[in-house]
Amino acid sequence: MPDAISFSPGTLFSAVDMSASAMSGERLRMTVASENLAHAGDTRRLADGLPYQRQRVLFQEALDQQGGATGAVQSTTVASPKYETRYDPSHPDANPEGIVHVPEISSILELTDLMTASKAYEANANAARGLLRMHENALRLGQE
Amino acid sequence: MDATALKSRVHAANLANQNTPGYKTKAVEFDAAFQQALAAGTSTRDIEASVYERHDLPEDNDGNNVSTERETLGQAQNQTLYNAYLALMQGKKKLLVTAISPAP
Repeated sequence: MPDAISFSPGTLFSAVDMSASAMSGERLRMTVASENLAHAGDTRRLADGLPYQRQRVLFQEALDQQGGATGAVQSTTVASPKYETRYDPSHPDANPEGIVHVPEISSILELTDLMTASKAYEANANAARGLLRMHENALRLGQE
Repeated sequence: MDATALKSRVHAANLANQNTPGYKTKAVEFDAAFQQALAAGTSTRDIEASVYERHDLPEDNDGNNVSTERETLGQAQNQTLYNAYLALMQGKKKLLVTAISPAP
């Protein structure tokens, strides 16, 4: 028999919380993907001297204080900058050496991300709906 | 029924972590122990469901091995089972109520 692991899923509504955590994570992913698409070709230099940094969403398993898995997911946005450099001294956003940094954003990658995120969102929404239906049925035991 | 409820949570956790790099599908170990106890004729009351990680499934490039289809279908199957157990309990409750109600 395989080794048991620490898994503390809590009670009744914690499963719905898991789905909720994933749904907000997937929604964040959709927001980030559309933000990236909106910033494609944005060469305006920011305070750090470089243009918009491509963002990515990082998913991590959420742990409880004892380090056991809770089943929920933590999502954070991390910058994953990638630039194409072009020599164009006449460009208003060129640096003193005449180099323009263009954020390298692949529309195919972002759109695929958008699609998978929306599918994952749906899957989690369905899971939450099913769980609530289970609880509803259990509560109906008390009636009649 | 408790094992089914735990399974539903595990399925929810797997679905929630379908995009977490390095995450391994979790599963509940209960049915095999239950069958064994049944076959051996021992009590099935003390069997505890435990959660373990599956490492035998094909992994994505990011080390994640959750299959959305397997989890969704597993969840659906699990819910049907849960409802069946509920119906059984409902039947038992009806019997009890009949037994304790005064004869007409």
